[in-house]
Amino acid sequence: MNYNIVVVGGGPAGAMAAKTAASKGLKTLLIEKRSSIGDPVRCGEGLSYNACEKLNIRPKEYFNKTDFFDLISPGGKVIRLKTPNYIIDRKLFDQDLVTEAEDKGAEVWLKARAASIEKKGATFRINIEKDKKLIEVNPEVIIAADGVESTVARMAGIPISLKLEDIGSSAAAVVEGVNIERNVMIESFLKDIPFGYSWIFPKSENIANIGVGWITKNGIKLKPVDLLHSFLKNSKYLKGGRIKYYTSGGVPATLKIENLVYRNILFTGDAAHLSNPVGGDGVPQAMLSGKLAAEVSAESILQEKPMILKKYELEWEKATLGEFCFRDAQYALYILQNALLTMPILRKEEAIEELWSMAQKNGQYPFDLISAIKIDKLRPKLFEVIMKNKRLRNWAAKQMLHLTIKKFKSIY
Amino acid sequence: MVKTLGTNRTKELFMKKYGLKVDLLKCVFCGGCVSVCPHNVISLYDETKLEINNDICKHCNICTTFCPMDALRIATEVTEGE
Repeated sequence: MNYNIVVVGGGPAGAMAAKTAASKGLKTLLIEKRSSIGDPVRCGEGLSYNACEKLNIRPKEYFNKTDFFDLISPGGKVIRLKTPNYIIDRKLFDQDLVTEAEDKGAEVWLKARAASIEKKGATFRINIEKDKKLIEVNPEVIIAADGVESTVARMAGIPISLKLEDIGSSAAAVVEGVNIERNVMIESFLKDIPFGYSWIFPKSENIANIGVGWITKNGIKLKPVDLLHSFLKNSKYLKGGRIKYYTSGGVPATLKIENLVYRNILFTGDAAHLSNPVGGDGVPQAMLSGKLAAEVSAESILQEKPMILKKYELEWEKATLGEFCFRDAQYALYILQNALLTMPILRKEEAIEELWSMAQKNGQYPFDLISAIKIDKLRPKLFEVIMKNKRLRNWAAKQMLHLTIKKFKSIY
Repeated sequence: MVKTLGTNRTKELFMKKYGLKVDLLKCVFCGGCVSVCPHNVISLYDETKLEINNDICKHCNICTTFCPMDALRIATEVTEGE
């Protein structure tokens, strides 16, 4: 069987890639190992309003818009940001995206998984297992949108397994019958835990997505799910809540993989580790990367120039440099998070409180590298983290150059 | 009788009995353990099937440390109750 593009994984990245590729007139196949799209959910279900505007996503009836975003420090300081967000239903959201892709002409196979990937000449081809039968497909491009566990990368022999300090472990549940404000999203950072937070994202009047997550480092015996249960038992807002279902999962909390393009495989979304290392949000990044990957593949296939695929890496950098600002945010947040993780717990807490008071003054997000550099306790640690990692060094040098040029231009 | 401790056969049996086990009542099939495992021991098929290849498991406990739902265990004599 022949297809131009095979997309592995039916999440937001895969659906967006299939939709874009199919609308460019390519023969597209999307495979999903589960028997239905979007089930089970493994997400906190928050989606930034600005990202929706940029990606042209129209709000649906299952979107709950919140106007305020409360960030609570371990010491109890509260910052109320006026950033709008949507709390979505990920199951319906993913299903809608895949339906859109199908409408554009993409073929969708459920209960089909990538069984193996073979190298043939300069490119890879893929064997798909469906209904216990092996089907060999020889596509021009394979888009890997298979999430944090990325089977495609494993089978292609690319080492992307995450270290424990580079993955966030989170337990969450959709809880019914809680007493919450529908308009406010809450993230409250945890005490006594190296780096993590709990969230309450209201889905409707009395249903919320509540979760706890942290970086699995320093050998804490406690599991996120235990803390989640103790929250539900002890918090006065959440008392008496009934768990409808769990939505736990692992979130890559690291830098993006070094090469997004590997021969004819393009990596997108969580498979490329594009999520935000502090917040853990990754749906907008996944959708943007899926869209870009499909656009570049379409260009390459229609012009019959496989070398164009390399452009995806540049396109991603370009798209995330400006207003979207994912890439820079990812580097900056990664530096900040690693600096805080390696600090002794008392000093860390003091530093976080200082970050909060600075953010309260300016009315901004507390995890901001520029204000973190101004804190005496944090500064040496930040430089230590930057100097240890080659990619961070290069990034910092580029930023310094950029700032110098900007200053130079403003003077003359 | 000659003891055959330490031979491949006993090692194999040991690994089988005391290998990595998953509690399917707790597991939500998030796939996090697949991505942290350095030896590709675990693979996820669909929403109800998690396959563990205990022959190559090195008992490093990375996945059990990660698991947010506390569903993975390296079975030892104590937890097995034998």
